[in-house]
Amino acid sequence: MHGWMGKVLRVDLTAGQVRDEELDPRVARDFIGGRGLGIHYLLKELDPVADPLSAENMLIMATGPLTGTGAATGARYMVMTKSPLTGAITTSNSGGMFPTELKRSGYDAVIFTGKSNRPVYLWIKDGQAELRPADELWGLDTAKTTDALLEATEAKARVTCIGPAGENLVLFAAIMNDKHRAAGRSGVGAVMGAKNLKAVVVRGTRKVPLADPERFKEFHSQVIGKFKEATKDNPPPLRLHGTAVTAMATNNFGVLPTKNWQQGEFDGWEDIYGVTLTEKYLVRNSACFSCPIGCGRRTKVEVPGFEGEGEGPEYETIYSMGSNCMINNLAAVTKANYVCNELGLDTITMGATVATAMELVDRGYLSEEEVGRSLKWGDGEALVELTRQTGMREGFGDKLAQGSLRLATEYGHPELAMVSKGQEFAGYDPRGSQGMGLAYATSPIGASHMRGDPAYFELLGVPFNVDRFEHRGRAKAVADWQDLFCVIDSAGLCVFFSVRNLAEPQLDVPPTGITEYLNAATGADYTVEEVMKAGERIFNAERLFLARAGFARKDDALPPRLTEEPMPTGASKGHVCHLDEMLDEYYEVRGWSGDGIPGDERLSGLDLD
Amino acid sequence: MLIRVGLFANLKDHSPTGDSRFEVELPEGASLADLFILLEIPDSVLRVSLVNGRDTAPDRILNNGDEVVLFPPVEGG
Repeated sequence: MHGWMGKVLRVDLTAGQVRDEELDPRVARDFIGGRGLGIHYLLKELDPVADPLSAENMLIMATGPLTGTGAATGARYMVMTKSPLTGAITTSNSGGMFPTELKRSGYDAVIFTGKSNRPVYLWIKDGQAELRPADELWGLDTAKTTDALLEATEAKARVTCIGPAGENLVLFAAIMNDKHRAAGRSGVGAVMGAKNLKAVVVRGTRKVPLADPERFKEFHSQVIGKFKEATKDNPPPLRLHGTAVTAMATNNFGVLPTKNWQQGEFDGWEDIYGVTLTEKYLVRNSACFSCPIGCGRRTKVEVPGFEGEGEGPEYETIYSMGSNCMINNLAAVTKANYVCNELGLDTITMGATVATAMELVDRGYLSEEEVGRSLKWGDGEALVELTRQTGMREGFGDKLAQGSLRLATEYGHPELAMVSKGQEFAGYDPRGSQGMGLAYATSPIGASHMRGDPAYFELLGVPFNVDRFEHRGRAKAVADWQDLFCVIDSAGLCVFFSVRNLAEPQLDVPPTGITEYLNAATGADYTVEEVMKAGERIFNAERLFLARAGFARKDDALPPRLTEEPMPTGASKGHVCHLDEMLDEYYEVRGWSGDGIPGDERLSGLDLD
Repeated sequence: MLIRVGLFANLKDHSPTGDSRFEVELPEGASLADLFILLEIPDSVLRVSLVNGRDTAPDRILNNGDEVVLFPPVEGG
C-alpha cells in the first residue's frame, strides 16, 4: 500500500500483549484513515453501552494516509473512544510531531483493548512494539513524563501521554503530545488512565511510501506556491497572533461567550486577545510538522504569581477561561493554560466549568465556603488554583473534575451548564451564528465547533458570509461542512489549511485539493464525489454508534439560555437560536427519521448496514 | 458626519492617530469605500468590515454616528 502503511497495532492491555494486523485495503479506501478508521473499528467491535472507564472500552489512535507524507499540514492523528464525559463517542484531534513519528514507525493505527493491571507505556520503534512498566512515571506531569521517556528510549522519539488528571480520571482529562499539543476533549485522557496506560512513545525512521511521488511533489509545490502568493501582502493573522486573535472577530460580532454565556461581548476582550498576547508574552510562533502557517504560540509569563512557560493560550482558552469567566487578566489565563497542559486537562471544559461554578455562586446556589475560597467573576487567581485542584482532584477540584453538567445538576440547576450531550461549547454563541447552534447540537461528540465549524461561513467569510441570523435553509451547508471535516480528520490534515486551500470556495465545499493529495499519495484514484461520500459515510457511522448507544433527537439539544433568552447586548442583540426548526430541515437533508435516527435507505447507500 | 472607527491587528497600521479607536469626519452620502480611501487602505489588504456589528459591502452609504470596525480575516481554535 501507499500513503497508508498497511498495518494496525493491536495492544491487549489485559494480557500485556501486542500484535500486528493487516489494514484491509477496502476499509482504508472506504473510511480513508484517522477518524474514519476509528469509527469503523468502534462500530464493529465496541459495545455502544460499555462503561467508558471499564476494561471493555477501546481506545484508538489513528493517523491518516497524508500524515507524515510532507503534504501541507499532514501532521495529525485522532484519538477515538467512548467518552466518560458524554457517553457518546469522542474523536479528539491533535497535531505537533508525534503523529508523523507514529506513521513513520510503520503503523496507520494503534488499537488498545482491556486494562493493564499495573501502569505501563507502549514503546514502538520501526515496526517493533512492546509494553514496558511505567510505575516510576505514574504521578508525573506531562512535561516530566515526556522528558523521562525520551531519556529511557531515544532522544529523537516522540511522546503522547497523560498527566495526573488522566490518572485521577478527571472526566475531561486530555492526552498531551510533544508536551504542548492536546487531544483535548471529552476525557480521552481518563480512558487512558483507567487502562493504566501512561504513554505511547514512538521512533519511526521509515518514509511514507507514495504511489506517485512526481505527481505528489508537483501538486504540493503548486499548493505551497499559491499559499505564499496569497499571503505575500496579507501575512496570516494565525501566524502573527495565533488563534487568540479570533476574539477580535467574535466580540465585534457579539458572539464572544461572556459570563457563562449570559452575554456575547466582553469589555476586556482587548486585554486577552492575540495581539496583546504577542505584545506581552510571545516568545516565538511554532508549527506542526509540514505546516506553512505556524499558528502555535511559544509563550512565557513573568508576572509574579503567574510565572510559567509553554505554549498557548489558544482562542478557545481565551474564551473559556477569559471572557466566559469575566477574567481580563491574560497572565492568569495563560498560567491556567500551562497548568492544564502540565496536568493534562481540556482547557475548554475546565474554563467553562469554572464559569458555571462562578454563576452558581453568584446566584447563591453554591457557597464560597463549600468551594473553599472566594469565587467571584473575574478572579484570575481562583481560576489558576481551581484548575490545579481539579487536575489533582483536591478539595473542590474533585467536584469540578466531573464537568459543568454534573456540577450544575448537583447544585440543583442543570440549565446553567452550557453543554450539548454533556460537553461544553466552543467560543461562538449560536444566537449570533445560527448554523453553529445546529452544528453543536448534532456534533457526534457533544458540543464542538470542530465538527463542521459554521463560523467559517457565518462569521469569517469563507468562502463568503451567509446571513448569520438566518436559520432557514442553513441545514445543507452545515451537513456538507460536517462531511468535509470528516474527510480532513480522516486524511490526517489540519482544518486551518485545508478549508481555505484544499477545497473549492463554494458553500458545498468539494474537497478537490484533498482528493488530489490523496490520489498522488495512495494511488486510490478517488473522484471528488467518492471522497465527499466517504465523509458522509463516516459521519453516518458515528451517528449509528450514537443511536445504538441510545442517543436521539432529544439529545441534539441546546440549553434554554441559547434558545429562549435573547442576547441582551452587542451586535447579536435580540436574537435566540432557532434549533428546533433547523433540526427538522437537517434530518431531512441527512436522510434521518424525525427522531434523528439514520434511515436504512441512506445507510445502505453508504454501504453501512 | 461623524463616523466612529475601530481598526485592529494589521489594520491598525492605517490609523491616523496611532490608536485603535478614533473618529473621522466624512461628507454626507459617503460610503464605506470612501472611508477606505480616506484611511488609505489598499484593496490588497484583506479585511472584514462591520458597520454597527453587521458584515457590510463597501458600497454601503454611511450615516452619522455609525460605528465601523475593520480587522483581518481570522480563524480560531
